[in-house]
Amino acid sequence: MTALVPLAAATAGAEQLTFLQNLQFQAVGVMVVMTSLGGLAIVVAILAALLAPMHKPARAASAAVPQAAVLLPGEIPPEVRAVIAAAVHTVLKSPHRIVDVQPAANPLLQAWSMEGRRQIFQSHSFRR
Amino acid sequence: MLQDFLDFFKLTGFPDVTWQMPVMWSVCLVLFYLAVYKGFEPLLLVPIAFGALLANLPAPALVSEPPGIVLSPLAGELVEWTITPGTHVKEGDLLGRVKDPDGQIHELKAHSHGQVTELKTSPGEPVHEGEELLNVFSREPGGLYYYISKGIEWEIFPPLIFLGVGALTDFGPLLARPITLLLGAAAQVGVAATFLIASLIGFSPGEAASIGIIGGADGPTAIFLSAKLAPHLLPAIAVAAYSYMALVPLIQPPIMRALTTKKERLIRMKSLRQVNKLEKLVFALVVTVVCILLVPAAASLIGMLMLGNFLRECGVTDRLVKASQNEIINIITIFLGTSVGITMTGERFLKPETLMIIGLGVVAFGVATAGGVLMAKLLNLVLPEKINPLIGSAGVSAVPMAARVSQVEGQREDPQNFLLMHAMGPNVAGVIGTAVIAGYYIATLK
Repeated sequence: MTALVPLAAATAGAEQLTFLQNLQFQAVGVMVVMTSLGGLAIVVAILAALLAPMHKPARAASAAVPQAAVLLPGEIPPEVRAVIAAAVHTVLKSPHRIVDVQPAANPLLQAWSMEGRRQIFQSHSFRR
Repeated sequence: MLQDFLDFFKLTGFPDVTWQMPVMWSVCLVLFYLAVYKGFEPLLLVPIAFGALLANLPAPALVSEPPGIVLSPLAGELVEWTITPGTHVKEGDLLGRVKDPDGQIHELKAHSHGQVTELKTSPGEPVHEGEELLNVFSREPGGLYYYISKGIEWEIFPPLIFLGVGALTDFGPLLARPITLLLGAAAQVGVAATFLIASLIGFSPGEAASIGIIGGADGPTAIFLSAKLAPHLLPAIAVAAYSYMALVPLIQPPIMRALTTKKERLIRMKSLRQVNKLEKLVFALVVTVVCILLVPAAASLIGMLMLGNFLRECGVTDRLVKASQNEIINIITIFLGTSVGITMTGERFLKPETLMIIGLGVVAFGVATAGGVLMAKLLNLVLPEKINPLIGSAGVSAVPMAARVSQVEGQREDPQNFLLMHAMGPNVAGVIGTAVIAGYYIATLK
């Protein structure tokens, strides 16, 4: 890679590079990116090893106060459920039981909310 | 009365309409259609298309330069003046001729309207590049977009957009799995490969770098680089970059499916660990220092990206974060888009090179996608904990569309597989990678 300086001079003069010169120029460029981001990956891994143990989840304060029911992303509010139940009762008349209420949208489009819900569930462990 | 009406007609813009203008109006209509009805990056394409419409109307006052001192564009010898002090000139008028050291004659043309007040050099005298040659006076201050476009010429707008991007980006997924930085790096192979192909076709190194950077799928970086290395290609590159970013969901899936097996696409990745605030803050500072030390030419992009991110993560600058995420990025987006559009005159845009650039843009995106996917497969050979190669394609920046494509493709095989957050790691790594390779090209080619 000692040819980089004359190569840079050639490119700065807007001269047309030969294929091999060009290939070498691109190889150096990719190496610069891989070195930069690879180096960062190593630094980040070291940082994580040093700094992650310092993280203490703040749970004492929140555990003491009972939390109000909070709707999860994508969850149907109780008043909407009541309206749906009333509508079903009005239309069906005959004896029935509502087992579940689901949004009609394509589940593939709800990826963000499903991912959020999954993360919330995973952040709590069951008491045995 | 009829004569008065005809005289007035000569003062309107109609006589100045050229054949390229109606053609460009139809190009603008296509861009408006894609943005408004197809949702292709409307935040950028609408201002670009509107700027292009303004550029292709006979309104030179919109972009005219202010009068003042005319500098020599090159070193050589002044051959002759075609004007004298007191002559009234308008934009494009011939002022004189300069001979370069090779004996080639170059015409010196007026950049603005006004009256010549002083000639500072006589014919036969040597001139240096940038030397003052004559003075043109007028009370007209120059057009609106002469000033706004300085934001691109002086490299102000792209870094300010990066400030907003940094304030909007969560580097948590990247910090939770740092190996994904390599996926963002591998996607830059698309930039390098397209540079190589563009060079073979006959583009100069600066032009080839500007075309290649389309593969980084990062609009502000593409504009930043081409404004420095190939400003004459800026409109075509900006349009290609933003159009293809919107086409990520169409371009990437076939390549992703072709390069992976069903078994690989079914890989479920372990949930990401929680990343604390201190890690995020230190990361912003480390990236700033490391990347700027390695590639000083990318300092304004990386510096502003990480400033925005530090503001976001430090938690004590709420007002600044909101300004960066909303007002600043929105205002700059309007100015950036219209300034790019205003360069899309028919004479500059209606060329065979534009079609070549648009064609090479697809190649850049395709190779970048393949680079990320193949790097993920390569890492799987050595890593104990396997990576789903579908997240490799997110190494092209295009945040967050490329990550969303990984998620959708993963769920096609397994509806219970959630790759979105895993794909955000390479996705934001791609932003850093594109800025680094842009810095490399600027450092070596400028």
